[in-house]
Amino acid sequence: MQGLAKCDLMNTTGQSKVKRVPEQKQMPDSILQVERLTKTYRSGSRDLTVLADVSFEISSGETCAILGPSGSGKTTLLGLCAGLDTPSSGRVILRNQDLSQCSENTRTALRRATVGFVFQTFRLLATLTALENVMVPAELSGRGQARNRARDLLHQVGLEGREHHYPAQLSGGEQQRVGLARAFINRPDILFADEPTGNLDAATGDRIKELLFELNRNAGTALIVVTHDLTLASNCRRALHLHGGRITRDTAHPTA
Amino acid sequence: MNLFDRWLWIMAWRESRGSRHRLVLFLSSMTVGVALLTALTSTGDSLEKTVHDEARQLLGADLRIASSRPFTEDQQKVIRQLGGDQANRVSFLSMALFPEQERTRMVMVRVIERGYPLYGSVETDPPEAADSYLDDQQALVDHGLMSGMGLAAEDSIQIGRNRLAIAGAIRRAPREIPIGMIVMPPVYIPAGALDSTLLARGSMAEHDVYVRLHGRTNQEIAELKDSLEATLDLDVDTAEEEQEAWREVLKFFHRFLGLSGFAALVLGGLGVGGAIRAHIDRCLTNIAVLRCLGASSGRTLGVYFVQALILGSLAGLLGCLLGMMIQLGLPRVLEVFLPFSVRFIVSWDGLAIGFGIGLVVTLLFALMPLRDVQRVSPLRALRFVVEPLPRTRFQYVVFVIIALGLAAVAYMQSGSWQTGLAYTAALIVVFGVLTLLAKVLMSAAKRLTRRIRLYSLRQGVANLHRPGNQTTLMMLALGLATFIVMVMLIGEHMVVQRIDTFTGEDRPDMILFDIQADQLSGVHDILEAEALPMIESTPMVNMRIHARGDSTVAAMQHDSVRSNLWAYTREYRNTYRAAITDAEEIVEGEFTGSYHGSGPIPISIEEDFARNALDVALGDTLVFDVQGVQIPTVIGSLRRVDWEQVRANFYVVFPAGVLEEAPQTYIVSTREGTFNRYEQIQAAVVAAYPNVTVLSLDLLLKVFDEVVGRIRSVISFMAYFCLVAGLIVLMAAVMISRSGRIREQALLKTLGAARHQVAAITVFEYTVLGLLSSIVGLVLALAGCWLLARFVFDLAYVVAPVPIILVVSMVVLFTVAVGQLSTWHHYARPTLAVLRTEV
Repeated sequence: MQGLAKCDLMNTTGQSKVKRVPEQKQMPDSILQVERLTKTYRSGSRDLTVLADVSFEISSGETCAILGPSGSGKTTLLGLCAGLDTPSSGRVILRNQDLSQCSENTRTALRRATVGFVFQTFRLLATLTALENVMVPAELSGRGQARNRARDLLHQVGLEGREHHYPAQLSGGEQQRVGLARAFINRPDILFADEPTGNLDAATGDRIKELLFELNRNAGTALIVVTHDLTLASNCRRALHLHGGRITRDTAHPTA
Repeated sequence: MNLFDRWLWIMAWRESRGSRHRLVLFLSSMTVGVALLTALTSTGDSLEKTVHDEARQLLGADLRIASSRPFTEDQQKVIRQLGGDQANRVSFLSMALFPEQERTRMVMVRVIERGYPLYGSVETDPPEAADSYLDDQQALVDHGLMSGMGLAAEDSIQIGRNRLAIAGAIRRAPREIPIGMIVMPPVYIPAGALDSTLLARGSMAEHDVYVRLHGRTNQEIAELKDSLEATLDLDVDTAEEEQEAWREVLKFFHRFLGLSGFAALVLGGLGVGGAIRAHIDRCLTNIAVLRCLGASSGRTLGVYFVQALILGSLAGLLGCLLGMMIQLGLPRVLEVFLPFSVRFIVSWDGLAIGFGIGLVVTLLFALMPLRDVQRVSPLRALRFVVEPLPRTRFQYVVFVIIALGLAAVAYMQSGSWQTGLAYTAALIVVFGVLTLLAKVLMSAAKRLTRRIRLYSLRQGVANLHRPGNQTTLMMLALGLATFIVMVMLIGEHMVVQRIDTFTGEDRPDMILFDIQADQLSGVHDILEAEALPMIESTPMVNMRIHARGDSTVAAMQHDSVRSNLWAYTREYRNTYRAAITDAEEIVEGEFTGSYHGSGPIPISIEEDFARNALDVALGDTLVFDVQGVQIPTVIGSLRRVDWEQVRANFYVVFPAGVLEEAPQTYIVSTREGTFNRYEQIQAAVVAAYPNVTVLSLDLLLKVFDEVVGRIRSVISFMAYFCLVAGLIVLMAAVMISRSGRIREQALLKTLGAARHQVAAITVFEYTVLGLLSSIVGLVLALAGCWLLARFVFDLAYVVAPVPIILVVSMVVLFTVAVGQLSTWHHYARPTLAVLRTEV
């Protein structure tokens, strides 16, 4: 199992010294382990448990959909798995590191080296061109050839010639394609996608789905996708059903 | 945060793309503040350098020995023994007659001996007149007086009984301050052309000897000064002292105006702080996305810190450039107060200080919003959050840092901790009151909104408290700008009122002085012939203090540990009379109106002077030397004097029956009323008694008005700069919330709101803001002016309502206009276009 020995492997500029995962990943290495995860918020005078005792494990290259109605805790789970938030109890082990034992800066460094994101509302930086948006994660990691790789990815998602357009000049589908390119530029070990087709029409959504899985296959990245879209979920090898903050079902789609 | 991280600078540039026009608008408010500060600092440095380079030209010599009486034989002997080059100058006020114009004017006659000035030169028009007038026994006349009287080089001037041709106009001369030349225009005449009757015994004249000592160091000259003062019992000035005195004056001027510049700078800081706050509020989601993509909180903070750094640096640079342009014009405004030409010198120190302070103030005001960048959770990228970041205790730490930073900057400008702290405290009070009021207003608006029935009014009031409102920033900008302008207006009004007290209907408006005892009845006859009353006729006797108790002044100078004995060494012009005037009140002891005894004479002394200058009390004895005769006195009473009354007031009053036989001159006051016959009366008096000087209060007030006008123009210049900075902040504050307003307007339009309804919402909102801010600014200015009038300037506290109403109305109108203009034209745009573009 590849991994990091310590949480504080960062240089003074905040850039990660974490070792890159080899491109040919060894299945079924565990990339993410979630153990008895609970998240409770204080709401007025009472505690509100959004996630309760959630446990699962994701292997390298595995695709997993998280399904559930609104308010079931899907986005909270995604945030916790990506180290964006800290659990009330339980732990998340990402690439062999217990996130609850890591400092904020180390979680950020780990995210930079390991994680990719795709958002429902695209979350492109409005003042950056498509190319610049895609380049951001690579620039943050200090990797060379960011521009060339960003161009290649934009070409792969069918946006050649649109590199210098700003998000406001792109359609919703095009913006999400830029989002996909951005998510894959650092060849992350794991990609978190939050309702990636939620803001798109059916046809555009289908094209995004195809791209998402195509890029995922090429990069060998593990994928966790939060969705209401059952077709999208059916493309994943596995589906976790959340209800009231608990996993009610863990189903596999061996054909996916 | 590593500022050498290239990504920070790239990202800061890219990220600012959508906000640059807003940031530039805010930037201009800081630019104005930096410009003012740079201009003042650079001008101050130029002045300082000029004073340093022209130290000897300022005095016109290495040493000046001054006396209010002609030098005695012994004194002249000592002075002659000094060696070097020497030149005498005698100065006195006198009436001048211009025969060709048939007009008279009071002038400062300077009787010049060849060689004066020993350093520097008298600049004249034509230039050769500066050398020729002494040989040709002609006069040089102040250029302002020449043009005012329509005089040409061929015309003549009569001083006393002597008539001289005018050789040329004095443009600039050592020890002649332009503003002083307006008040008392100088006329230079050669010693041989003086009518000696003008300097009769007891006349007020200043006798100076200027000395140039070759090869002496400043230290040697300072030592010589001390020994001369002890030997001659006269005032001796050195070029170094003159330089130091000017340095002090310039320092005071620089500090005073520098603090006004500081106020503009704080407004600028407020603007930049507001800009960065608004910018960061708009970027909270971007920050969260960057955090999700792996940017550490330090690097994310770095992006916005770099933006603040660039903004502050740009403001500093542009401010320095604008400041240099102002520096080109400022000396012209100031030259009137200075006896030398101010050269334009690029002050690198001034530029560095302006740039540095601009940058530091920007970063200080950016601290709070920058701190928020670190607190943005990456979760914001996943969830839609509208709430602003909660405030933490850190904001109080930031307030303290800002206050300390401002106090440090104010200290740098004022040069004293007390002034710096007082200024910062005043600013904090104004800021505090305005912020508190903004909070109260928002809270009240929240409660009132539901009760208001009129839709437009309800929406207008609701805008004051809705998320993203700029109520606090706008109130601060408007309130502070109003405060500064109001302080200027009210202060100016109080000064004008003080001047008006001189010109009341029952007050004298013409003063005749230097009247010899034997001329008094003749002057009385002239006034009677013109049907003018002789309101007061006051004798004046010149004297000095010889001893206090058993100690002579000479012994006191030798032995005393008191460093300041000026009240004992100065010359006095005292009077005698049988009763106190209505400007006086006995506060201690008993006034003796007449004395014919043989013991010490009971005198009355002004209370403050007795206590603070002479350090004497009731019953103490003083021996006066009246033209060589020693007169022992005892302090019989202490008087309070209303110095503001236009009449001859005195520190020391003798009883009648003592000084009647002493050499004396008289001051006579009368009231002409209309000022139409001033020149006629003046001509009649001067024709009969050339040594008598006639002073018209009207003329004096006109001159005073000009002096005040010049000072006012400098202060107004500063105040209007502050106002411009405040208005820029206002416009920028409106710009911050503009896009939200335009979206809201588009939505209201979609829902059927008419243009007048949309407009009314803005009008109500901005009227409330403008009105409240200006009223609070006004109240604070009234309180500030009362404190200044009561404790600093000792002025009567008077307020004129009309300008106040005008300013308040203008602030409200401007606020409403800016609010309307920012959104008005967007009503006509298609709703969809607005909603797509205004994000």
